[in-house]
Amino acid sequence: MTPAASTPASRKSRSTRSSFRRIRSDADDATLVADAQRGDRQALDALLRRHYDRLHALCFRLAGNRADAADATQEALLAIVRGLPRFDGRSAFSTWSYRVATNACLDELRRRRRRPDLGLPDDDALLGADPADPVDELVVGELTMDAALQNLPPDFRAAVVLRDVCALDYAEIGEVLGVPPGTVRSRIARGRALLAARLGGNPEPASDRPTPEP
Amino acid sequence: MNDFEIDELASAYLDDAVTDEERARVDADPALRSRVDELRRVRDALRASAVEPASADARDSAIASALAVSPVVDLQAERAERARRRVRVASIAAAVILVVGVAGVLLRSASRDASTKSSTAAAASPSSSSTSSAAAAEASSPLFSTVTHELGAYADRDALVAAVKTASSAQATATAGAANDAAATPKAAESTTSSRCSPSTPPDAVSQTFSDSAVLAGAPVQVDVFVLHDGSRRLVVTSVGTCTLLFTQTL
Repeated sequence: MTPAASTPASRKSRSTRSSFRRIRSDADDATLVADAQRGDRQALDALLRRHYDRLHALCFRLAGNRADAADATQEALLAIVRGLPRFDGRSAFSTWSYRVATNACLDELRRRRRRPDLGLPDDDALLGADPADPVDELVVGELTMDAALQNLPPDFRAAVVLRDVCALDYAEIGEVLGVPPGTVRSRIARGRALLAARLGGNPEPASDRPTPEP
Repeated sequence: MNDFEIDELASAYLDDAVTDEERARVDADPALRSRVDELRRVRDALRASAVEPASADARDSAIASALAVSPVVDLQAERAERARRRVRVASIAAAVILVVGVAGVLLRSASRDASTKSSTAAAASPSSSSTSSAAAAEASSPLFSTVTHELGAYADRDALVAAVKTASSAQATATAGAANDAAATPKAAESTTSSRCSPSTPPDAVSQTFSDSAVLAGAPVQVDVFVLHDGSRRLVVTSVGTCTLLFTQTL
């Protein structure tokens, strides 16, 4: 035990910090946002911690690998912090932060595309996996999903991820991507259809599928 | 209906984002329902594909970096600084109040001392309290109201008497006028004589016609002239420092 840890002052400090975090975790997003906009750094910290995993999942699905996801998430947090003073609360903080994060990730993807060493996400790990092994089968399945997602055009990928990973409705996705709900519906449908083809859920080309009755 | 329209309808059906008419159409068409099932499998696979959370270190580092560029200030530190400022201001205010209070007490004490000295001087006067009261009553009386002058400095008693004779004769008419003025404004006359010694009024005095201050052999004196019952005038000279009678003389 360190000397500092054994002092009553340090115990009190830890206790205060712990109760502070508990109080902060009870506060809703609107309260934390308002406090953060008034200059409460602790509220901002609590807000970012609350939404970090959600934003990281979004960025991972959009970026396709851990390294780019980490960079994209970092960029997203920076953009959120810089943009927070202008956040007017007309939409939920979660929706707004998704929009900021999505834009940060798409920017990161564009930068990545300009780099020469392009490749499928986490290809090195995929090369070592044995599909016959049940554990590796799971790994292969996830990598395949990641790879399939990466094959989608970014706009389609963003729409599908925001719908199926982040569970936003069409209106919210439209707000995040800045497009009308009709466009969202179209992008999600095309993205899912491409994923289905890629994952083998619908191996035959769309033109060979039975035509529904008019 | 082309394949894209089919996929869009099936996908929207999956998200429950269709009109009643579109829903009825999908429900009635086996090919569309089959496409809905295919897209559902894809959706479920994506949802089931878990994203491994970032490590705590990565999360803490990212948040710390974001906070570092934040224009948001640390409100806790700000509050602490404000509290320190309040304590400083309160200390300064307390010090100012203390200084003003002490100064007030000192001034009051000094004023009390002066008042005590004045009382002591009055007590040291040869006139008794009853005499003082009588003198005060006389002073407030129109007959005993006077006009004061600064007579000057004299080396001996004779010079002073000669000066008083001249001055009191010249003011004889003015004395009567001043008495009339004092009758009209007794308070003004009272204030004029209030800081002076009470002279030893002759027992047969009927009025006071002259009062002045002068310096005799370097000491301040008060000079008073009274008209007696027989019409003569009597000079009374009083030491200002001790309010004691120095001499009296008929003019």
